[in-house]
Amino acid sequence: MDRRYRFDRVHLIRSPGFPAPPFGIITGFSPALNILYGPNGIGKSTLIRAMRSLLSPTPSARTIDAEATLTSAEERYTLRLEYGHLSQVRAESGEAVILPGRGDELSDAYFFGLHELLSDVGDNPLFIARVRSEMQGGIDIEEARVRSGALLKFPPSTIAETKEEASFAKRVDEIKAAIAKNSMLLDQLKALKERGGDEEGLRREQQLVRGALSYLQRVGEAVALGEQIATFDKRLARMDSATLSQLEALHERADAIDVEHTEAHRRVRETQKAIEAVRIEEVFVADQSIGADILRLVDELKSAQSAYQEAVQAASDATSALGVWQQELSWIVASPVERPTLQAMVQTLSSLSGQCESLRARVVATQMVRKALGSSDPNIGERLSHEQVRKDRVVRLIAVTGRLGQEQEKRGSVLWWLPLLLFALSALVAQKLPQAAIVGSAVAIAVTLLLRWQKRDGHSGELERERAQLLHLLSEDLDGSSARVEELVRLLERISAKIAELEAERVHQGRIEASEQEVADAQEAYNRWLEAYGEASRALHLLPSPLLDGAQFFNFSDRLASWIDRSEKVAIAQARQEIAHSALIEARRHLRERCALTESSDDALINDARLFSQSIAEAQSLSAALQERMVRLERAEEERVQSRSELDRFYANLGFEDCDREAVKRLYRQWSGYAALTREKESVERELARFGEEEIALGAASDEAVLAVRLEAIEADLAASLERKRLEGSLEERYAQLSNSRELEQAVYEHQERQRALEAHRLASVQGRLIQLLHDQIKEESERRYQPLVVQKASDWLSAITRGRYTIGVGQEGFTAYDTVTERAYQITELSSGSRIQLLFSIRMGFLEVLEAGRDQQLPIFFDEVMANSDDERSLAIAEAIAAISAKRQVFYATAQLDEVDKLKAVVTEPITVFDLEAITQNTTIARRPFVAVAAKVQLPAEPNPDYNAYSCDLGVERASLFEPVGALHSWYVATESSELYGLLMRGLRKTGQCAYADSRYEARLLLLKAANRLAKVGRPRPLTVSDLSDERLPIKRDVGYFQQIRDFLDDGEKSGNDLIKALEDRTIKGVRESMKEALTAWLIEGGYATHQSMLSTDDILSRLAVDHPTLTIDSAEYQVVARYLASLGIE
Amino acid sequence: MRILAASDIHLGRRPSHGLSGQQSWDLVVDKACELGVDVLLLAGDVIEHERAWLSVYAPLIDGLKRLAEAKIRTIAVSGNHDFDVFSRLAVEGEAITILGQGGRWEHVDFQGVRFIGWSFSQSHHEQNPFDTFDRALSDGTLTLGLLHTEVGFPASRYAPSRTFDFTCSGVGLWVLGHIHRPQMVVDGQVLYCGSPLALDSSERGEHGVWLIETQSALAFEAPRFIPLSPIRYEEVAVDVTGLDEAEAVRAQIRANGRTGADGLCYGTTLYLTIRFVGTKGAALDLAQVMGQIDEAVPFPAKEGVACSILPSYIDATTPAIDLDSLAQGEGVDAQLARLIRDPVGLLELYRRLEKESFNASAYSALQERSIDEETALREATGAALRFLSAMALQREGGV
Repeated sequence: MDRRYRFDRVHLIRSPGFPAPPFGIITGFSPALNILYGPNGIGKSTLIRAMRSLLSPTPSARTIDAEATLTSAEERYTLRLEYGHLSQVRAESGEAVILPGRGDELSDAYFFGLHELLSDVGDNPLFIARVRSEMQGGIDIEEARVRSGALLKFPPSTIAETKEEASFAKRVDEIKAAIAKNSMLLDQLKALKERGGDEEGLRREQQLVRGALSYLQRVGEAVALGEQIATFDKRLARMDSATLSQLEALHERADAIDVEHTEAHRRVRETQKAIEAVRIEEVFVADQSIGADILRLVDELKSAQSAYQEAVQAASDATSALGVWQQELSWIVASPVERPTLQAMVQTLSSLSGQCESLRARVVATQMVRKALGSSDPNIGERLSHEQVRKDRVVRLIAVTGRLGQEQEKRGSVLWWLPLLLFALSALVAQKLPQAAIVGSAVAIAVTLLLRWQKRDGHSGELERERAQLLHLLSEDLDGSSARVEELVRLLERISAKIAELEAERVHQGRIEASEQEVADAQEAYNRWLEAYGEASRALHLLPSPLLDGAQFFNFSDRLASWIDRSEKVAIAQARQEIAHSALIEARRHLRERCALTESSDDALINDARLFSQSIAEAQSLSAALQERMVRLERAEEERVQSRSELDRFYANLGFEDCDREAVKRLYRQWSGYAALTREKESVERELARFGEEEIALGAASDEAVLAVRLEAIEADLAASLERKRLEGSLEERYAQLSNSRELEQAVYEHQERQRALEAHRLASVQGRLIQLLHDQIKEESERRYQPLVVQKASDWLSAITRGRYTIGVGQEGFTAYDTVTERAYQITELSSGSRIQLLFSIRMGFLEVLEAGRDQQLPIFFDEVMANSDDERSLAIAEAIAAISAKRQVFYATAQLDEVDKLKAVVTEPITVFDLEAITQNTTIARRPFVAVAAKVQLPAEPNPDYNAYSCDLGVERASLFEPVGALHSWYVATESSELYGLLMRGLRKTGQCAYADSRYEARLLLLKAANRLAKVGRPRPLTVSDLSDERLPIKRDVGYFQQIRDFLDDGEKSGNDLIKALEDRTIKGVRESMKEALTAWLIEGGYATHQSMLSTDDILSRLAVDHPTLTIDSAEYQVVARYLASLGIE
Repeated sequence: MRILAASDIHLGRRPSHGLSGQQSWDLVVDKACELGVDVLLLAGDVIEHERAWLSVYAPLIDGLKRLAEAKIRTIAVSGNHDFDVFSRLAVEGEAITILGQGGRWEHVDFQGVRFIGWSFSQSHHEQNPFDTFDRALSDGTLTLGLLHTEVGFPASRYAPSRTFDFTCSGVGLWVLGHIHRPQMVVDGQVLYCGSPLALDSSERGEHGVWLIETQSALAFEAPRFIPLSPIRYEEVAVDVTGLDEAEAVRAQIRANGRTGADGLCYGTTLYLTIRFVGTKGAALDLAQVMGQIDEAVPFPAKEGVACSILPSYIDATTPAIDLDSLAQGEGVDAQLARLIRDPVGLLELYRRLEKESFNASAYSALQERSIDEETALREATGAALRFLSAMALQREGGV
């Protein structure tokens, strides 16, 4: 069976460097050898790469879109590669599959590309790894070595653990050294303590000698001061620092007392004159209470006036009030009543007035109730008795009839059913009349008893008579004398119903009677009230006026009480007026008498009394002042005498008998010096008094020089002692610090931790090294002993194509070619390119054979100019190998060399198909764009129009587009005059680019337009279309969901890259990762589809151009050309 | 008489899981005061740093003062760590009696008991102290010997001695120092005090002091061990046979930890070194298992006992690979299996690499030491098995 896969049809749709599919659909492949022949650049390698990528994924698949049909003996597959996505589908079923026999990992084995084989990765590392793995029994010993932590060598000292250990060891040593250095510390301390002298004794002695020295110095000072003091006036000893100020103060005081005495004398005289001017009798001046009395009496008189006026007003008001009452209410009462009567009756009336309404309401309510109960029936009792008698008779009649029935039963008939019937009837009647049920039941029981009785008594004649009598009495209700029991029972029911009805009527009659009684009671109560109220009214002399109907509801009591009050108030007010008048007369009299004034009106009296009182007060005040000033005058005289005396005594104390103030002052000027010496001497003496006996004795026994020498020696001893103390303290501090220090133990602890870590590291290293050595041993042995099948097969191939010259081996560095002639193994890098190709060819073939050994399929193989670097001999060998291969599988061989085609044709016996790709390309192009013969037709431009813009319409000039080449614009854009443009068009220069070639002037204008175009593009993104997405530089996956979203987005109207970025950011297009967004954005910006820049206006563009082009003046033709172009672009 | 015996306090050496190097000394002093003993015996190595003894001198003196105040007499011999400071204390301190200064046997009689002892005069002493021992020292009285020595290692540099020396000495009881594990060397007659506090994870088991009491001045009662250490290190075996998941192994570790805590005192922290045993599957990565166990987060083993797992562990497992049958086959794994089955060759290779490692610049700071053959072979085999497991993983498609 043919195991080969073969391509039937291939269509290269998209590939880098080819704007359109170059070959169209290629068919007619040979199942054996297919030679793809064509010049370089025609697309041979591209086509082969596409076919490879259709079989297995390859790195280049992303840039290629292709489609093919692949067939095997049993199946047909459609292979499709689109945007890097490979799909392999069974043609029959449409089922997506992975091509049976496809091996992606070693798919390189199917490709023999010259360039790849000669490159650095030509000896694909996968191959050697796979070979090694096979040599090691399927185990990658290298991987196992790495995984198990093997080490090639022990680590250097630069590892962190070593450094840390060293660092901490150093620290421990330093601390130990520091401690060891102080190990004599205790000895030093001990020695110091032993050397310590009697510091206390030294200090005492130092103090004693210092004291003695000081004592001697003070004694000398005291003597010197005494001598100086003796040279001063002795009277200075009586002075002190206050002497002068005291003297001055005494003189000032004496002068002040003199002035005060004179002033007191003057005031006494002035007061005496003022008293005389007031002219008040002495008796009034002497009376100290008269002023207050007069003022009190004046106030009393004014109060009496006010009280009298108020009493008059009150009497008038009370009289008026009484008059008003009498005027308003005199129609009610005939005359006033006594107050006790009024109180009693008013109370009675108040009580009665509160009861009236309820009594009246009761009368009315009971009357209404009675009326509602309707008329009464006084015969109801009699009727009820009559019906009861009838009932009794019927019952008796039934009983008698029953007895008679029993009698008849004795004759064979038994009335056993009668009580039962009565009970049943009673039960039926009971549903409507309960009383009847009771009666019925009673009757039934009676009948039962009667029947029983009849059994005992058989006097039926007597019963018959009684029955006839009863029938007679009930004749009105019964028909004839033969009333049957059933009729009797029905009669009994009727009578019972009647009795129940009459009972109800009797109850109603009872209510009527009760209601009538209540009406009578209410009326009687109301009458009693009317009587009581009339009695009370009469007691109050209320007028029996018909107008007073209902006056009982008027509350008289308050009004009557008010009347009495007002009468009494009038009487009281009049009495008070009399009293006030008397008081006024009395007050007026008292005031007049106290002031010794004559009769006058009250106001004049009051005024005079007040003036008199003021005069008296003034006279009394002056008199008091005079007395006080007299006292002061006496006191001033006493003080003047005393101050003179004091001054005399002061001078005498100072030793100045003549009271010479100036002499005292002159001597006092020496006093400060004298006093300073005195104070100093006293101070020295006080200090001397403080010295101890020991110091005084020592001072007395020595002189200063001796003591100074002694003191110096003591102080030297003390300084030495202090130094010892300081050192001792320092040592003790250090001892305390060192003798309980955790520093060392902590450092040692940390060092040991590092040592442990380092030791662990060492142990791991030893193990790692052990593994490495084991690995080396095993590897060396395995490479020596085992030769994998793949190498054997590759070796066979190499031997075959080198005519037995080379075989393949595997060495330390990879595959080797063993030269059987030189008996030496060569590394790949040591081989010539031809030999290298042979070696790598053989390796791939070896792998192919091994890979496909157990499979049913054989995939096509691709060769790409593998013979190009080989000499004829090697080429032929390779060609023969290809011939052998093509006998078993489809082979594609790409070459640009015709001789290679010939070589292959010479050795291959299988069918060969040669594809001339250049011809195919040409045919494809013609098929795509078939030639159409056209007749040359000359179309002259329109005649020049003076209006240049209008001329553009005549010529059919299109509007400029920002993203079209400027050189493709109509020549209209670079000319300025219609005649000028006509000349250009007549020369066939329809485009600006053509004009630029023809004339430097237009070239300059075209450059300006290009510059303007570049500036105009700033901030204006290029429209983005779906076809732009096929750019190979766009790093985006085409087989994912969001790519389709992007395509749909762009299909929906004209869009820019900025629009797309916005859609990505606001998640209109979803599922795009941030990294992909960034890559897409970068591509859009790079391609001009998106921009972050701001747009430039026409003025901006022209300004910027003017900077670089000095000739671009506003009035220049170039300026006009550029401005016109920008306007055509729609830029403002 | 009641005597408390301790040694190897190593004042100034911070325990691996302790707060300070003073803790051990404080515990001993506290216990002596608490028990109200008459004598505290110190059998050497009371301090850690012989040259830097000053760093712990204050707490040492403070402890001795406390003992003196409690009317406890302290009798000691110096060990290889404290010969320097003890010689000073002997001169200065009245609070301690140092026996055997200058390498001469010495005795002191106290309350009817004769204490004899010999002290280190330098950091090493390679002669047997019993070479100069005079049996007359112990004649006629109840005698207790105090010595810092290494028993049973004649080549030791730390005053080597033999069991025979003690049994023939005529001394009623020997209290020894130097070995940190408390133990009876000769039952009822010779004991190593051991360190009162477990200083690191190698010091497993209980640690504390010994209480010795006399029987009516004629003999000693059997010494009674008093645990002091609040920390205890233990090794626990965890069988990983059949355990393929790391979490299952961790659960087993915790379960074994709880079992190990049985019988421990309340207030003890138990630190466990895990020894993995049994057959280990190729996919089980013990380093990864232990990498997830956080030593800083102890779990309660039982009430009052917290259990912490130490990060270092011992891999004594055997791989789930039949080495014998594998070695019969072909391929690199078969080659490796054959190498593993050659312990002599493997050990030789490992020993060579051990030696090389100490010469490597990275490890030159480490003191060269020789591990025992069993450990060396275990380490070598472990590494080789790791390599073999990596191969096995490939065969199983693990990579």
